[in-house]
Amino acid sequence: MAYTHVSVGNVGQLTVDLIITTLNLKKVASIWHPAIIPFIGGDPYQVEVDNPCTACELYTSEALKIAVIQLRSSIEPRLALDFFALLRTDILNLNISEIVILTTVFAYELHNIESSHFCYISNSDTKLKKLHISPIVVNEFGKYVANGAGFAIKLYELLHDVVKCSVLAKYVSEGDNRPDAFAMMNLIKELYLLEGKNSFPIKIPLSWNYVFGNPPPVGLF
Amino acid sequence: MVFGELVIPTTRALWDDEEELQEYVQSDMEWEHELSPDVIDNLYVVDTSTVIKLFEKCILTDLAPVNRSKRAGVRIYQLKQDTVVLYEHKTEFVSGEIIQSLRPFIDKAKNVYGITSSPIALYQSNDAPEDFTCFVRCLSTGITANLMSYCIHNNRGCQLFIGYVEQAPLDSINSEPFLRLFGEIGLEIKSHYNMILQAPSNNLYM
Repeated sequence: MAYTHVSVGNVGQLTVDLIITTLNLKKVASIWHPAIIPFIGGDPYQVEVDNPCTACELYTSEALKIAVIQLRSSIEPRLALDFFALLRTDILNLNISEIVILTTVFAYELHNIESSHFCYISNSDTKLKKLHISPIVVNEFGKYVANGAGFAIKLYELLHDVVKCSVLAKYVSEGDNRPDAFAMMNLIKELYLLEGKNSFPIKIPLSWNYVFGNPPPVGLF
Repeated sequence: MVFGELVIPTTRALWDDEEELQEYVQSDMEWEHELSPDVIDNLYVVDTSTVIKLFEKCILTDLAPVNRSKRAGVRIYQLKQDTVVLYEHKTEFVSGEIIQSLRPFIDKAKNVYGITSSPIALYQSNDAPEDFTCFVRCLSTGITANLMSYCIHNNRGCQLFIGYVEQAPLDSINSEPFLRLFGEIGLEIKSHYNMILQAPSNNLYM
């Protein structure tokens, strides 16, 4: 299962968009909690809107045994722990074998630019360790240093003792972050999706045509 | 900027990494009466000062609220079998908490409507109608978006309307599409909106 939430550049969301479109995952549930900052919009993956999309939704593929939670807005900090506690219970009830939390950290935290632009935390002998990706460092107080990663670390801390869990983060800056999402998607393909199978092309979701909003009105010129 | 000064870029990462998460303690919204509705045919949840003003002048007129929470900025009115909820934004409670407390109403209502407004400049589409005074389209954010998200989550029907208006004061022309909408979703319009001209509160242009 992959989970994402708002962090620098929203690369997690963009990557989940790519996973959903490329693997043709189906929406199976919406997730509602008072902590989720609300949002209602058109379907990001289809031209014909038959169902509005909400801030937090679950997409799955039974054949591939993959589920992703797409969280399109942020979490209200005051209610975050309550939300995470319920999420933890649901994850346990669903018997999910492994969770990957996708997030990003500020690019200026990458001190050696020749090293991998990814970093991770994991509680298992993950393939990440074999890919020359650095683990996220722990400071003198025993806390992970991942500035800009949003709630990813907190969620990892709540889940790591009950399920196989990893945080996969990319060093990014704000801007057009679609190339970062492609890089993250390629890494996810390599780590979790291919497993000896032939590679497949990545499909771009419809909503990416509107990353910078609509064109300005003609009357402006 | 001084050479060597560290300039932290603006970011969508809203969460401050140094901030510790606290256990959630539910605050009392201090409702005047218990929230136990009877039968509700239509539930209207109304957001933004523009639509609230229209409801007060044209639908509710001099009706008194049957319940209210000053802390949460919510007033509840009863119109025969229909219920109107007016929400004025307050920072003390997030919209999710308000929808949570309104669940007895939402779960009991046969039809649920959310009505809100937005400045016309924020309308993001190429197919804007010719009449730019005011027009009505669906989809939104805020408490009404939360209302619809809750209804979708519980497999309940919900209609959400967002009226895009110019930032000019409301008058009989730009309020007309709203009143037409109110009529079509089962509300009785008691009076039409007339602009009341008020002297500016400062003397800048005198």
